[in-house]
Amino acid sequence: MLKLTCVICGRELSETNAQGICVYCGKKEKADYICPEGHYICEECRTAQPLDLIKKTCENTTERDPVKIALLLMKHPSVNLFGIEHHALVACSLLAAAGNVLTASGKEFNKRSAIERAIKRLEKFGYGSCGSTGVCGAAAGAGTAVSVFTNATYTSDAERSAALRAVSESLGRIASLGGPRCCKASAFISVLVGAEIFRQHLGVNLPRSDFPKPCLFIKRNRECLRERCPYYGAEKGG
Amino acid sequence: MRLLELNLEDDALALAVDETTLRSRYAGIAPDTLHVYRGHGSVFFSGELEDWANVSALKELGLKALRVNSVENKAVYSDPGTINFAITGPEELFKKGGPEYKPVLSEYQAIFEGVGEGLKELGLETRADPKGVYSETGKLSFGFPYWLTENFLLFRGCIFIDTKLEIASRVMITREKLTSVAQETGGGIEPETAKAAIMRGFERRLGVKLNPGSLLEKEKALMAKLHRRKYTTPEWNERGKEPHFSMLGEKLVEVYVANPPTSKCRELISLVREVVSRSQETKFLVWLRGAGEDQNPGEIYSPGMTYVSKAGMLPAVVVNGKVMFAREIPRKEDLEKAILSD
Repeated sequence: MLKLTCVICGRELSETNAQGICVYCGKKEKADYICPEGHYICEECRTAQPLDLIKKTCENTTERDPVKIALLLMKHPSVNLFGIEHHALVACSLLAAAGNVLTASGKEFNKRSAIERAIKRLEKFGYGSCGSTGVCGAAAGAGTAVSVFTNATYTSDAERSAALRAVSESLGRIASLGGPRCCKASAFISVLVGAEIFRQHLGVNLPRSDFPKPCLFIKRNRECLRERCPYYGAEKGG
Repeated sequence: MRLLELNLEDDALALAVDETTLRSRYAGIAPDTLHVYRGHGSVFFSGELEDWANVSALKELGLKALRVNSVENKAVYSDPGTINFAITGPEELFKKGGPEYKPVLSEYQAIFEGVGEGLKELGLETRADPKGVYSETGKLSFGFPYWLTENFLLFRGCIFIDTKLEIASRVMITREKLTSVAQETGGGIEPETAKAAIMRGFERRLGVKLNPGSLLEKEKALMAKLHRRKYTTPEWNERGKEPHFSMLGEKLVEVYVANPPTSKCRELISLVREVVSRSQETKFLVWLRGAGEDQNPGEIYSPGMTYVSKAGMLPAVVVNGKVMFAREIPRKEDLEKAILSD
């Protein structure tokens, strides 16, 4: 018998016939496995490719905190420890959260279109672009979110500056960590920097929160930066 | 640490022993091991042979070229004047001492410093770095490091004691000047004496006690399989294509499924389990997506598993490292053919 644990909270899964709501896409259906916390993932989301999962989850979620959205996505088994999916993950978490904040305050925002555009733009960033071009794709994800949100182009003024600032500030902080790369740390930083730009320059009041310390992914990362990373610290588990 | 001195008459068999010690240690049935042996006139290499060895000289001299797994490419000549060693264990074993820890490089340095300790006992002062051991005039020890899942090391090394340097220089393509203990000290040191000194050097530098031992019965079977299916084959030695099986040599059937498994995944698991139950000496592994390699202790992803997990192809069935079925449940007769045939 396989011992199955919940990918969201780590508690043991049990078989069930009860109704479950998929934590990713929100689909309500008869569940097969569910954890004591009620976490359920539908079959379609279990087998989804990372970018499809990011798109579906971000379109569906009503969460206003980009940190929570990013963390939920990072816990999915299709999201590798390292990988290009982190680029879109950063952008879409920010756009989904920003869209939900706007919608909640009665403003219009085409979240689906924004998410699709962000994913398309970030396809250009290959694996290891941090080392090979000096531009980390997660940082570019923060810039892409700002650019998509503001409809910035190369002729824009403040919007272009905000997008550039999101990337440059993210890159500066990622560079300060040193190497080897950690896509989780880069994504944490880029989401937080992006959220700050949304708050300060775009007037979107995203919640202020942080990723859990110690980082949930330390055990899986044999190349962990350890003491050099602010998320290695031992405040408390998340 | 177990010490193996098997006095095998065949370099390919010695290489099979080396890999056996790594696999059995990783599978948890054997201790850390040092295998020490003298060469029989071969060239050990990694990478493209023609980049690192003079192939026409090898042919003229009738020397065998034997490929080894290594993260560094090179070719090294080994004859009865050469002491070869293979040391296997977890990375912690090699992290002892040293002023500043540098991942990977410090482990190699510690091993070569062990060699240097032994040579010092023979009256030869040397300098060790992560690439080898050097006297004032040249290089006399070389290594082939190989990592299993990033934290288990098989480090094969060659030490030129009284190696025929004219042959070594002819067959090895290297910018480094080669030397030997005999050349440096004026001769008179028997390889067996040197071997004992080097073993003591390892004991001191790595802080281990070497206990003479032998291969377990399971290891002997694995060694024979590796010798027959890998180290004596042109597929491996000429083309670098290696056979795949479980860590201890059984036929390997891997199923890659969603986490938690979908209804389709569960159906596939039970179908494969039923067919495997009729197969002799077969190891059946279920890998849950995203749960890492720790979920099946003592085993690692086969190349086929690595492929399907990166591509997100699930569910999938991988037999001896080869992807046989992906995304759909195969017909039972097709599955039987894939699993039950040799």
